[in-house]
Amino acid sequence: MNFFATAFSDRSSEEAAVKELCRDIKNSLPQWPDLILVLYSQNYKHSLIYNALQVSLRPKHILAVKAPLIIHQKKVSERGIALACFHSRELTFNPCLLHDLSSEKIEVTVRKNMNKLKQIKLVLSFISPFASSQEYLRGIRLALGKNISFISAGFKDKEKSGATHYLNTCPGNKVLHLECGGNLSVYQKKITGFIPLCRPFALTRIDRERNIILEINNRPAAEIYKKYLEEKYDLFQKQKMFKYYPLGVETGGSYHLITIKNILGDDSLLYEGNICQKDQANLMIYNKEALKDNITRVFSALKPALKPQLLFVVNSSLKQHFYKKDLQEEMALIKKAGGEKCQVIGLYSNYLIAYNNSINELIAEEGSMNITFINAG
Amino acid sequence: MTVSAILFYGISISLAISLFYLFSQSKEIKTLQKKNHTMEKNLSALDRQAKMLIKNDMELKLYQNAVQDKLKKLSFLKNFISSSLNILDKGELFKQFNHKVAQEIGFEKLCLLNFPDLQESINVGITGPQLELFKNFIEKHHTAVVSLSQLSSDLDIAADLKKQLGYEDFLIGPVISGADIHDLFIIFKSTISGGMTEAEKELFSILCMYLGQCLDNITSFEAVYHAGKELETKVKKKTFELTKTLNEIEKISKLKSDFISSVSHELRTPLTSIKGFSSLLVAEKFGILPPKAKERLKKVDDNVNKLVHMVNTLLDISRIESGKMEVKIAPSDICSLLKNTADFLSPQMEQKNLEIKVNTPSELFVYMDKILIDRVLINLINNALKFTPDGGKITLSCAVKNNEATISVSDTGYGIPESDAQKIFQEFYRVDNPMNREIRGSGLGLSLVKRIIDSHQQKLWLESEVNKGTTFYFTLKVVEHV
Repeated sequence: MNFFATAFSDRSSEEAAVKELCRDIKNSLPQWPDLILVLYSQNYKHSLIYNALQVSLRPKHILAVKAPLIIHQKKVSERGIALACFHSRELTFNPCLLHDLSSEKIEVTVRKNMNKLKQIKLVLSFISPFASSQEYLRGIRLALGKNISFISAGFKDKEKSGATHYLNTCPGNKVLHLECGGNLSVYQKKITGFIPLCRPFALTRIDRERNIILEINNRPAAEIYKKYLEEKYDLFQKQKMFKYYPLGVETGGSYHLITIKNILGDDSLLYEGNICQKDQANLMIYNKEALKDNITRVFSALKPALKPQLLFVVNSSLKQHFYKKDLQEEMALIKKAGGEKCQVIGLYSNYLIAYNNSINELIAEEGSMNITFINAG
Repeated sequence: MTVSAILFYGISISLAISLFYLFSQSKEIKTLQKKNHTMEKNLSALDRQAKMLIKNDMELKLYQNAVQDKLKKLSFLKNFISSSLNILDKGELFKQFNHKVAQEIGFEKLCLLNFPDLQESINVGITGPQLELFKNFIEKHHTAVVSLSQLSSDLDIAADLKKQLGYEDFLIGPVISGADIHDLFIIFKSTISGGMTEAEKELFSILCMYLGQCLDNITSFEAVYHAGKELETKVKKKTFELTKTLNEIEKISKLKSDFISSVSHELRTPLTSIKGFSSLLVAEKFGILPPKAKERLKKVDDNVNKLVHMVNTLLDISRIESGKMEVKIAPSDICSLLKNTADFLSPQMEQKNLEIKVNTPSELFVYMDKILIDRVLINLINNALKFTPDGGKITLSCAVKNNEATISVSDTGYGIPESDAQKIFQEFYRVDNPMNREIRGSGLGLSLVKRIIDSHQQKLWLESEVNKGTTFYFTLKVVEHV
């Protein structure tokens, strides 16, 4: 028996879209869903989707997340609603909105929930632009055990006003947090299309408190960009192209990305990510072929028994601007690799928080994609 | 061997071994140095390639960005133009330039200053002090501002203003309507947002031109609108004057008709009495009269007859005009009426040696008031009789075309000059020529004819050639099914 079903509609009115979605869900899911995860684009209104879903599917919980791009199967859409409906006696869900992101509060809440669910298998969360990802990360690091799969999609665009997520009818201004327990097997993999460029360099002076890289190879940090960009450096700085050329720190054969947010007046770099002084790093550049190779490698390494029933993809909206045409191709590849029976649902966010297996730590990263492979039973 | 010898040999051997070791190590160092050099060379090559790669990638991204930016702005422009194209009011047009438009074209604030007095027509987000800075700049660099298609903050002359504005990027462009600068369009934004792109500058130029075009359209529309209004006022004024005049004319005409009617009535009673007595006297009912007296009385009687006829005609005209005369239109045979009238007037024809010819079908039923149309025919034939010299010819005809009968009375008389053709239907009008002065007439006959035909809602006209003859035509509606 299916424990979940997914559906997608890009009808312009909420009512028409939900009608189409419910028809598809009812065809695939034999019973009323316990929880619905709604991923929807900017052009829809949550209240209308919620009301229509309540009437048609009567779930216990509706978690709604607004995203710039929605993924369903091999499709990536700027306009549309995707649903993932879950039903199983063997699955338990505990959704909540976190308003207080202090580490103590998060620890208390999560531990309380852990007792309630007995065994948390997967934590899914969505961070609004008004929440501090660092604060949340600190709290969640303290609260979660390392054998729990965790994926969080974070949003930064404050200009697009209004809440980015809702739990039932309540808008969340910080974090929408969902713990899933029960008979689930979950496997996660980060995939990136960024490859190292040039010779590695040492991060010789870092202010971790303020997230500033002061010196690289004992020289002002920004000189690393000046060295490679030469006459194009001014344009690079003026056009704020840093985020497209992040730093990559190698650990255990893979790279995690350090996003450069700004170049400060003293040629130091304001960064976001997880680095330590004296780490070796590289300048990274995006290569779509490398991403495709990585996707193929990840899926071919999967044991047949681990063939997923559901893939939850959190992709990077960094690619939305310059690599829009490649997005469909990426998802088609994932869907093909996942197999005909595998359902794919997901969204694009500004950054994600997931485990880095090499350093055995939860880290925030911009530019990478995370796939959560989910099986029930 | 002595100890010193053993020591000497020992030192020599260890020296030799050390030398050999040093030699072998230096070789290895050289190999390592060589390897290091090769590696450095490879890394340098990698760096060179990395430089090329990152620069090309960035250029490609920027190019792609510029294309996307242009496409987005073009799409905005298309939507903006289509939504504001039909606006024909300046206030309404200026309202379109709001905060959203500023954002869409990539800026934060905008304003439109009237030129040359620099009064603001639109202001989206620009503060008073900032506006003052702009005004001072424009006054100082008047020539540059009006001569350049757009003045950018990138230019040297704008450096000071940019600094005063807190390093904000701006563009100033003239909005040309007709041949003059109508306004100055200013947009600006914070430099933190990454400077101005070529697409933004191009879009700004297009917007300035478009705004000028819109103002041209509005000016043309206003000119046409005002001209139309002026014309409408003039027409109204003229219509009012004409209506007033017409009312006065109608009033006068009514007064005249009333006067004629009452005078005719007043004249008729004594005339009837005079006519009675003169007829009795001429018939010598009061005794035999001397021949001279009888002759004079005969003339009196003839003139009284004419006067009675004249008064009757006047009364008829007055009745028709005032609507007092009942017109009884009914199907009737016009051909028999023509023939009868011709017969009735044949003695006068013979007297004047005139030939009368009647060209009609055997019968033709038309809608008419038989008595009134008879009077029309009598008047027209009498007219022909009067103005046709002896030996002439009068023809009565009737033709049918498109359900309409056209009746004509044609003569070979003196004819009517073209200048008098329309006037002859006026009351008491007589064509002024020596011949006409010899022929007596009241000038009322044709006027009565006109009014009778008008009362039938039919047409009356004439064709005439001086010294060749005249033909009067009038129409009557044919009865389709008798």
